[in-house]
Amino acid sequence: MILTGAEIVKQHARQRIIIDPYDPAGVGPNSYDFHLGPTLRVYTRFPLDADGDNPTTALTIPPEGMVLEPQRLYLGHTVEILGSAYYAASYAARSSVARLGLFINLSATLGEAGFIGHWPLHLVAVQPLRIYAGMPIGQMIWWKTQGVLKVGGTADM
Amino acid sequence: MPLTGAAITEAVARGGILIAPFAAAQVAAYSYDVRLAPAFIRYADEELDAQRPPCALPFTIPPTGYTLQPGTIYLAHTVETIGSPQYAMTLDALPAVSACGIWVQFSAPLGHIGAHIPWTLEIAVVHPVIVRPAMPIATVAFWPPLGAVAPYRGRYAGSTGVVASRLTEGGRS
Repeated sequence: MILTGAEIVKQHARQRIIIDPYDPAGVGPNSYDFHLGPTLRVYTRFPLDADGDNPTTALTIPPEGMVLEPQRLYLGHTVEILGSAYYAASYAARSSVARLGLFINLSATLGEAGFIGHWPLHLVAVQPLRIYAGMPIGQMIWWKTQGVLKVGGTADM
Repeated sequence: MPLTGAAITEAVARGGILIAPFAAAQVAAYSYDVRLAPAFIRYADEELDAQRPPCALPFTIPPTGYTLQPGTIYLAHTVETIGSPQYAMTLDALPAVSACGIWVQFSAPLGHIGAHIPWTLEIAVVHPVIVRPAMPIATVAFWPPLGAVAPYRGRYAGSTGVVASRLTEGGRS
């Protein structure tokens, strides 16, 4: 079952869902809005090796924003620390961001079990797009699990 | 756990799910198949800006079909108005559509509880592909919520067709 906004608020108050910093305005009907952190990383050696180390260089998004080149992968992160040991998480672009042609993940929508931290964003733009640090970019969605969860406890509380 | 096709049909009958027009033939095993409407938009500018409202160019695809090109964002919408006051929704491409290299959403599959609108599709293609009005394009699954339900009052509430990004208008997506 997908958690409603009211349930996210409740479980955040009980610290079973971690959101830091937390702003009640970010609570949606079934999700919590997160923002783009200021640092991006891009790969510097091609081809990438799916089973090896891939060097990257860091870019800081300046106040005037940065234009993402189409069909190039930028690794980003959320401003917020997000996660839960009690619920499964998936994350999605905000609809308004997707409508500007930006993917924030590439068919990897399910969160790592129990991960609590700055979430990695895999940014790919269909057309050139100027983005800004701190812009609202995506939403976290939490799901009640069925069965014993190894990373935390039971969600049946 | 997603609703089964039978549960979707039952929910439509009691008003728990709103689909118009509704056709029993589009009920799948655990989702509802939706079709492509002919109204499209693309953006006038090649380079977009997350802090500037995009300039949208509306166009209509003909019954004979329209060839989508790689590297372009197309926005379209479903023929069906679809939504639910009780269930969250997710939208995925139909496998046959994905098999043609068509994305129908850009990492944004979620439809909030309470939204009840034609679903705007974000479309891009890997290779040039011809699409036609009313073709089956995507399928919508319905998910029961945990917790108290508050209605959707986002910036796309009340939409009646394809809608460009409203990121710069504030409010929720």
